[in-house]
Amino acid sequence: MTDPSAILIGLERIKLRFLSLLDDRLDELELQIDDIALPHRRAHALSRVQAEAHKIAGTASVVGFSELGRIAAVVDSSIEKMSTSEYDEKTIGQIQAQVDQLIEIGVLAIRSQPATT
Amino acid sequence: MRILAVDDDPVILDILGEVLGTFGYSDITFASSGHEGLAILQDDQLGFDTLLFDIQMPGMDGITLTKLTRQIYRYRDVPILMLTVMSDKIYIDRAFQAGATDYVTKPFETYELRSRMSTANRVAEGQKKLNDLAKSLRDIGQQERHITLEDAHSVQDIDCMIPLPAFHNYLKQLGRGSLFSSSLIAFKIENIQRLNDSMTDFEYICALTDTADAITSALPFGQFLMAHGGNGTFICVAEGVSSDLLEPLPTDIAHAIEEIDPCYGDGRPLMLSVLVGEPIPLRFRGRDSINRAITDAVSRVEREPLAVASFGEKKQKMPSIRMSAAR
Repeated sequence: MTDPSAILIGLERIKLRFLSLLDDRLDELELQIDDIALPHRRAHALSRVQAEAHKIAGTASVVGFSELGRIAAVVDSSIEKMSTSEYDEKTIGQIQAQVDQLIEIGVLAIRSQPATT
Repeated sequence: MRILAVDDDPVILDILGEVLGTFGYSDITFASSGHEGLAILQDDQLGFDTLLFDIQMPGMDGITLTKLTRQIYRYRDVPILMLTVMSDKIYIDRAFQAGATDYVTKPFETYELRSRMSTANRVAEGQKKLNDLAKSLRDIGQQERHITLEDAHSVQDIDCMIPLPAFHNYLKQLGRGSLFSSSLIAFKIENIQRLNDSMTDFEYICALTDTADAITSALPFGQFLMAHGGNGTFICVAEGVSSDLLEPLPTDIAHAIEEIDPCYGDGRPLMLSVLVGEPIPLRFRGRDSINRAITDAVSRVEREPLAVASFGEKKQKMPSIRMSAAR
């Protein structure tokens, strides 16, 4: 029988790596969020944002950040479902708000961990 | 057990290494892209027992990797588990069409992953035995029979045909919304017991392949998957099934078999008919609803088929479909 605590100890170590990568991913999201509003940069920015959100959605809850994973999945799904004909101000504004929320919750996740030396 | 895990996210590879290691799977090779994964599969001498592929990767995605992996003979039956965030039906369809054995949606539960791996490997073992047997049948004595009628022998090299266990996994993976727009249709080779008694194993496999080829080429649905369920019965899941589309289906299947022009290995024509069952709309009605729907579809095609695919001189009921010689 596998000891569940053994998995938890292993995942705790991976959580630190996840948070380190999350920091870089949030930087990328911050770089792209304003470009979503610019028509000539929108497609590239959405693609970058979706790629980062997709990765966060796939791992966040496994290492204990369920809410972060949930909002990342919302961003991923919103961009996936959006066709180019839906590039209206309202939809773009909604996605920017979701990305904002993702960044906010991501920052909270990073701050929730005690600093390591 | 040797495992290859391919994902461009290093955190996922870390998690897999940790979780699978805890479950006793210690021989794991990691690749961070589809191209790297394929190169490992092509160069490795020992062979892997289970493959875990992410779908969305830059460059070569997991679906392309699955297709290319299935073209490597050694990996025709090895379980491929897709680990992915993509839960939309279109991705699930593409993954199973490409040859995936199962589909695990990220973020996954660690114990669920272990359970899926165990099941996939158990099923793959059975499948491999049947396929090895089919391969050896070309060489051994013609009269020896090893395949029973009940075996859900998978049909190879026909688009949209997948093994029965993968078919079950596919249905389990579809969400409630997708199931509501899908239906099951069963097809059955009429008098399969009598026909099977008159054939060698190799001829029987050819008959299954030809029948599957005819049915899949006649099906008018944009999206479908089909499996052989044993006893010469085929189960198909399709979207957008309507009576308008079903009406010409028996004739189209008959024409497709006529084009294949099948016969026994010694050239004798083989008379057979394909029964077309009534479609069963899929619904979520409790835990075992999918299994019950499959049983219902199979039982209906056996008891009260909607139509019989027929062509040739005896157009009314019994067709004169001949089965092709060795392929």
